Amino acid sequence: MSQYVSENLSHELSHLWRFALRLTRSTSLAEDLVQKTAVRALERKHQFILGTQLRSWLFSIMHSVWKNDLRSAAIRQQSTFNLSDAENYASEICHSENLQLFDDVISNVNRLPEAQRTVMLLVCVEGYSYQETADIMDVAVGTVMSRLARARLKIGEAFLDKQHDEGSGEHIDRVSRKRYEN
Amino acid sequence: MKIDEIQILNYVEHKLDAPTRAAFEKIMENDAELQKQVRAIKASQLPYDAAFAAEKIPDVPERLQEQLEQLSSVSFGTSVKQVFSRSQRWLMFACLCLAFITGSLVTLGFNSIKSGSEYELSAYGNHVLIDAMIQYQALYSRATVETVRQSFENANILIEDFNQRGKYKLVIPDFSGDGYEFRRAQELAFYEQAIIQMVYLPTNGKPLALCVTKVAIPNQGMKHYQSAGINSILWVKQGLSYMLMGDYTKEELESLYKSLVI
Repeated sequence: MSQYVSENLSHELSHLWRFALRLTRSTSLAEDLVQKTAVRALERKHQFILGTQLRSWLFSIMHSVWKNDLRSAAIRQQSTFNLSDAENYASEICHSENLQLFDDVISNVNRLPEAQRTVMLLVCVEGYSYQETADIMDVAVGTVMSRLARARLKIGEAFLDKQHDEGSGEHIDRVSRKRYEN
Repeated sequence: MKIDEIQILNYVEHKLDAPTRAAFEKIMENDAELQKQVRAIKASQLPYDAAFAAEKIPDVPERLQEQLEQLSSVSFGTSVKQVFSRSQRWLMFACLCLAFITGSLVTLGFNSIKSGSEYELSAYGNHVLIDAMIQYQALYSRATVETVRQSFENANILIEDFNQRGKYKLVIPDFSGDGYEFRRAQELAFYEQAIIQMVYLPTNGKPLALCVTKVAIPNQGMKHYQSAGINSILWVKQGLSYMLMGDYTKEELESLYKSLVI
């Protein structure tokens, strides 16, 4: 069982790296976060239950480590310094007809308070269910739903304001409807 | 009916049952604020996954890949081959195979292909294991152990178990007089060889670790060794190889060693 974690940890590296970058918005902090996550995962590998998702388990560890890091004033300060670094990679979107929309979506998600942002990343980007997200974040499902709703409310308000400022929201409406309408 | 953000989200996503939806819409008719919130949630129906998928993510740094492989090798030996060079790999494999066959580790006759320091190091244990432990320690930042706090009682259960298995007399050293607070003892494995790692944290500065593993070699006095930029003090006593290591000067570690043995 414990061998499973050691043997498969490197296969999850790209996913850990991506999630760490999105959590920290900094390459240096992400590198540190992945390292710490790996150390903790290997130290607790006997706690991993075979048959469950390794990635969710690793994300849960990563989230816990990041929460602890955020409590440290030093890391908080460093995070602020590194926002420009994060801005560099976040603003680079692969060529797309929806370039501006994608940029706005990412910027608005990144502006959310930490807890809401993490829920948005897990549910709307990583595709986890409310229950899986609750397990990863070690909170109740209701808390996940509440944070998601508040996050969506804030993002929606920002987009409505933008539409109002630009005088038209047709483009945003068209793209979002096309993708999300049942 | 009490309306909260979750219900607004469920309304927009058509997750309310028909009676609740009807009640929601009735309330919304005369509630401008609720109408505004519904509009906002609707406006937040955006292509999040597509936006983040289009985001350019920097490649995984090579050194991170290497560090992860090193970590895995300390905890579980099969991937250790990825950490070392080809010559080191076969040498290590040969050493370990022979060691397990003869029942003793290290002190095997590969003098002609070992570097001087490796040869000297073999008097203190398996040099590959010592290097792996030091590299493992190099990954420990203060933040890694800052939140860890294990009681002496719990740590002693682990040490007692280790002692009983090998009839050792290992105790957890108390460095509190030198300003290092005990944080945790844990058992690691290198090719299934048990290693006890005891971690300490000073008020300021990097973690200090004392790693102990069994060896079938005679007692040896103190030796300084450096790897991965980390200093270590090695000694062998009563069938146990001790490795005191951390991002400290040789003199600082020697002072701690002396406080242990004197």
